[in-house]
Amino acid sequence: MCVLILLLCSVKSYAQEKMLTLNGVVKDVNGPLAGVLVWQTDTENGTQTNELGFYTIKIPMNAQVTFEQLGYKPQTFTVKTTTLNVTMTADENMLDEMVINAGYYTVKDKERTGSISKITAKEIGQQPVANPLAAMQGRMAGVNITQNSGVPGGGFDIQIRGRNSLRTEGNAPLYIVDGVPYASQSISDQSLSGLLFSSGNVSPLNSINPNDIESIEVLKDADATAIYGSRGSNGVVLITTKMGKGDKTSFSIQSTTSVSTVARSIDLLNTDEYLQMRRDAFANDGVTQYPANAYDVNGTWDDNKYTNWQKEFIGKQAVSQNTQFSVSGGSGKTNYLFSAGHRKDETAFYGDFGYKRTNFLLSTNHTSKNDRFSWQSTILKSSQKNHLMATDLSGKIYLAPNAPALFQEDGKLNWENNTFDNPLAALDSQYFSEIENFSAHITLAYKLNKNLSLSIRTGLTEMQNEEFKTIPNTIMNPAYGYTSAVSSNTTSVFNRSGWIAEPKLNWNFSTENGRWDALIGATFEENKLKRFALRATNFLSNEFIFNLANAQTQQIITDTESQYRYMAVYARLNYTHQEKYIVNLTGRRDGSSRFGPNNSFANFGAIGVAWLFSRENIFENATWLTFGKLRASYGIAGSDLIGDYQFLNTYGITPQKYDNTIALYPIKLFNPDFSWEKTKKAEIALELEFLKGRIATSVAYFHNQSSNQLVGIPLPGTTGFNSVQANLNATVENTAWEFTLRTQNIKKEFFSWSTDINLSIPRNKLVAFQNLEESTYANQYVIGEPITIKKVFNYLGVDSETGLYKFEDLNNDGIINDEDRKTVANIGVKYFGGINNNISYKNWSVDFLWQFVKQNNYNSDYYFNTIGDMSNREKRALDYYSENNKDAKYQKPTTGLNSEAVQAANNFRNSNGVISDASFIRLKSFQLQYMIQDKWLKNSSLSVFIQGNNLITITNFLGHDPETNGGLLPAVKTFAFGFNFKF
Amino acid sequence: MIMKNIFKMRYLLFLLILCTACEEFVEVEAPKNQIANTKVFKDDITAKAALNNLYVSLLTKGFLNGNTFGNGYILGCLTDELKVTTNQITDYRYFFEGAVLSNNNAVKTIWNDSYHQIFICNNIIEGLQASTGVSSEVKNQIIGQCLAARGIIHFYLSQNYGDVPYVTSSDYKVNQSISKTNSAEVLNRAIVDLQEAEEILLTVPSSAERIRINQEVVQAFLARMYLYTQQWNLAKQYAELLIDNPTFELETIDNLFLKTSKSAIWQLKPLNENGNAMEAYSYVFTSSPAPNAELTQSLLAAFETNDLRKINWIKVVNASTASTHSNKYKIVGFTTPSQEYSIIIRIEEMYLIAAEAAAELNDFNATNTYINAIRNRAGLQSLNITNTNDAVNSILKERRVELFCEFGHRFYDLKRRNKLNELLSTKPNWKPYLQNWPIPEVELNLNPNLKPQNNGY
Repeated sequence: MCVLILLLCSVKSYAQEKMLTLNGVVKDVNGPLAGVLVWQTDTENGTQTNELGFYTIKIPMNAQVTFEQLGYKPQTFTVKTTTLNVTMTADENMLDEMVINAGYYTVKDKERTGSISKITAKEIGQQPVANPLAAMQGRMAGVNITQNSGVPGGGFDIQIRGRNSLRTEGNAPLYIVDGVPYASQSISDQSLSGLLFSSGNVSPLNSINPNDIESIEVLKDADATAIYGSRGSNGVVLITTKMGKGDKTSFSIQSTTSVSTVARSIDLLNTDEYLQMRRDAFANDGVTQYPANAYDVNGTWDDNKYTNWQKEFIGKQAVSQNTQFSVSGGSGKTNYLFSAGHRKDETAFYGDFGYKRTNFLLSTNHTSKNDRFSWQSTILKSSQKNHLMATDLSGKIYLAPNAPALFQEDGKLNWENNTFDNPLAALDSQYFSEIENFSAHITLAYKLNKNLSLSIRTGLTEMQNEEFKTIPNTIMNPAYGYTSAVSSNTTSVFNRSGWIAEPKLNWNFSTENGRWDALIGATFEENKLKRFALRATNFLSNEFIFNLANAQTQQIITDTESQYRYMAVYARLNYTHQEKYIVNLTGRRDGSSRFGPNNSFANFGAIGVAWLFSRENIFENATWLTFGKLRASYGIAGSDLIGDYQFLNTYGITPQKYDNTIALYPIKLFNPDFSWEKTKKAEIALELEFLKGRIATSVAYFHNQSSNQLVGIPLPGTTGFNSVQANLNATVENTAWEFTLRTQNIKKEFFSWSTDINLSIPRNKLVAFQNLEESTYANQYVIGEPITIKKVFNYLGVDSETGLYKFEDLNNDGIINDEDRKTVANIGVKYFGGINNNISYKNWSVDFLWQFVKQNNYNSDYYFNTIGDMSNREKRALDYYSENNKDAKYQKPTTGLNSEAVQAANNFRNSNGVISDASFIRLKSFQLQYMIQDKWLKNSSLSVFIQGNNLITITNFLGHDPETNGGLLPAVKTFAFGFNFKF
Repeated sequence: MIMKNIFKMRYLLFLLILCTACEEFVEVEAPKNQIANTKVFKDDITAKAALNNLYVSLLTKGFLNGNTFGNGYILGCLTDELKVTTNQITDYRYFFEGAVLSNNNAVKTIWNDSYHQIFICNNIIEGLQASTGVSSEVKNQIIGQCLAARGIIHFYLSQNYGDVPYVTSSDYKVNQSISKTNSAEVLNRAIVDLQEAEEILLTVPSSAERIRINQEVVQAFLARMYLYTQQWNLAKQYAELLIDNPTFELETIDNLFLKTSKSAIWQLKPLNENGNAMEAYSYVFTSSPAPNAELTQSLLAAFETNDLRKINWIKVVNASTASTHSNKYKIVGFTTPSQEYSIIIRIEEMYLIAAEAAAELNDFNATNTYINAIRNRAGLQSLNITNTNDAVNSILKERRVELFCEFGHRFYDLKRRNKLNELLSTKPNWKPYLQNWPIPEVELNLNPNLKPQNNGY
């Protein structure tokens, strides 16, 4: 590539020593380049370009000025004019320098031996989302993220390379924020938030502002994760926050306003259709005189009334406001960044509820004059406030469409003379949560000599969640005659604190043909979790419900403290031969307090190799191939996600007393003999770049086997418990193909278009399970099938004679019972991925990401009882069996009195009839941005943007949302606009 | 190369130091809310605390709690005591409508909770038998209560579910594949447990609250079990033991469910300080239509006119719709101090057991004495029964109006007298197979030895 120098202004000469103000715009083929270092050669006089590529520097005439940016060829000019516009050229060799954070070490992207995906601030910033995990959706091969609930403050499920463990909670990855492990387990008391969030899951990652993140790296294979030993088997998510750079003091203000609504609404029956279904149900049951409590059909409620409850309860437009301010700068070898953000979200629910978050980030770094000593520190502080009703109203949209008005004329809640269980009564039961998070880390490094450096990283984290949930008597039907004596308020405080210290020694050494890199280090970590919960009941008046002291009865429900300690030594040895052959050895010895004294320690390790074959002589003249690498890795990582103290045989103190004396309860079935779960991971991958990097692609295949599964083995109730913690002699295999493709479709001076595609085709299989048939898993798993299967009845359609659902009678005994529930149905992802496009034209740029998932899942029929009971259904339910419609999709309605129909409906829910395609293609994120470049803005830049999230969903899914289901608020679509001003 | 070796050695040294110095680092102290199993059974106080948990569990779960999800309420709906008025989907509504499926939540929960209570008993028994720290007097009292509770819970399990496993150890390796025992045999084994408990338990001092299992409680349950197993002599003998015991008296109708009731043989004390029995929360409502369920017309019709029990124990909320609720327990919420404790078993039942057993033994004098004692104190005239068949019918009717809404007596009485199908006259949805609940579906999946499923499910 040639170097282009554009001198747009006329050239004038001045006296040599004279200072002048040089300015101009730096771009590459895609447009303006931000963050390019502009400095007077061999001096400390320098600056950086802003978002618009604009720079200004005071510099003597005829001095040398250098333009530098990672990945581009540096350029030096002699100053002759006051304006100098520069076009930077990508340096094919310099691209090697794209550096990937692998946790304990960094590695050049082209020389890495492991499998690591990365997204940067650019992609994260395109989405108006509150949780960093949301920004990762659809962007990484092998990383499957699903949102639990559309309620702000809720959680996400993340699976990196499939399910290794039979335990759902055993599949969480390790999160590391700026080098400090971030406990990802929910920080909420399920008894308080369980009706709002799936399993009461409140993700601690909500406390991190996505705008503060510089990059997220996901470590996937053995080579990358084995150095995290016992905690690496489910992958590692490394979050790096932004740091200050450059000397120029710069300010940035960004503000975004967004509007969210439920992404997909469903079509429910109107009053006529609904009442017809109900009347048919009574007729089918042989009931002619409608019972007194059939208020919807017996005339108690108005037959002609219609309310769209979906719109009423979850149809609100939720407005969010997100404001961000930052200042950064530095001088010489010291830099800082301070950023503050505030976010406010409303909910789609009825009522005035919402979520607020305030974030602060302070990052500073310094290098000593002789470059031997350096330190870097980050302090993160956030507080979140969530105020919601204690129950998700999404389940209430199935209220009879002719149900009475919510309020009486006097504004009071309408109970319609006790005949109407008003869903809004639930609004009186409220949930409050205040989460305070503080984390700090500091890294000190000292270069002992040219080859050897010593560093220590220490970190502190503290997170506290104070929740309370009120249940006043007014949520109950007044017919109970309850008073505030039954009102209650439960308060729970979760406090998780921890520290980590990691000393590390780095050594590198170059010989004529090769380069050695080694490190050895240790980890000491402690985490404490304190929980305290208090339930207060018997209030004099509901006015006092927020003050526990006013309750006549207080009860301590929980008062616990648990401790987790962890230590490890780890090492890495890497050798690169002739810049072509690379061997990477990593290992770790781990000790964890979660295992009994006899099993506390275990070893993990991996080997990774890479061959950069494009650097072999035979490819020297192959201009079409820019880069080619073959890499492979094999190793063992583990998981200790089993909770603390599981090896102890103990009694606990119950919150209740009997006759005013304490009670002790047996906590669990005791089994001391369990130990580490291990995952063997193997991977082979090919990475290629063609035509000077305009096409870059990679293909990876991995094969992971997890054995010695650590699970709560389900037990029948006759044992007194539901499960016992033990290692299971079972092996789960995860394999997958992962593809990525990046193309630079158009690359013109003012116009460019690039596309990123990722695709993962995972396969999960239970390969071995000793005595499966005799075990309690016999009805759950099949060897050779995925662990996501369900054993169900084989649904044959509606019987044209009886009008009931029909199922295959496998053992031909004439009855349908558990013996016939043997058909295997797979609920799970077949493939998933994303297609991202970036198009820019002059000052305009458009980014949009399509996410696609091919999967089967339960559709909304799974969540319903019989057709014909007193709840509304989706429109498709109209296709029910009747004399005139014998070829129906659904069986004949019953009010519940026909127990055969109830049984059939129940079997239907346990059949493959309710499992259907839940695939979707979704416009996950969209951003249109315009940068205003104008004379009057001078040193500053202004961009305005429109963003969208989940804007379009294409799916055949029967139900609300193919991603979040299960009666919780579905994912929301968000439309946002905002601006960013830097000066 | 030499340099490399030197470094390698340094690393090894470094590693070695770290490993040896810090093995102790990963040893953590036990959490402050837990106490080692072995320590629990080292002294009297902690052993008693472990037993307290049994009572906490009985009050909140399983067969003997007064909640709407408890056995008493559900059996009231399944038979002809309660008419469900709610149109919400609840477990008890399924029972009311006769649509009981093997995945019904109450079917599963009551099963699991009961076996958990049995685990508590077995674990304490085993812990104490291995212990040397607990005094033998305390040891016997605790073991006696655990044996009795184990027998009583198994008794209820077999009444509801038919053939069920009889679990006498806490070893999950045994219990996870345990087989069913014939329901008659379950009763026999329950009786053996109770007999053993009777021997070691002490009698209750008359001044004390009657909130724990003692010798009298065991005798009362034995009387009931002998009746159910048609051992008439023993049933009469044991019932009379209690009738003749001066601790217990027929309490006046309006004071019967107070905590000071002299009728009570065993009460459970509310968990909350100043709390009252849960039953009031479940049954009481103040305006019609009832939010959950109301008493059935057939129950109201079963009362004779001027029966004090109907006047005192039934509250008419709305006369025009005949909407009524059980008013045995009246206090919803708190009082200082507590006034009502939940009665698990009481002396009136002993009179009725004695009357029924006597009738089977053709001792109609005794029958008349006992049944009329119950009737007269309710303001009803004496009967003069002269044959067993009349006696049985009169006693069943008397039991119906005396013991309604108290832990499922109606269901058990009809079941043991093979009269459940008479429910068809008022419950068109009744099906004969409902006499046994289904074994929970998940249970059959996890332990195939529990197969086959009960008939009808």
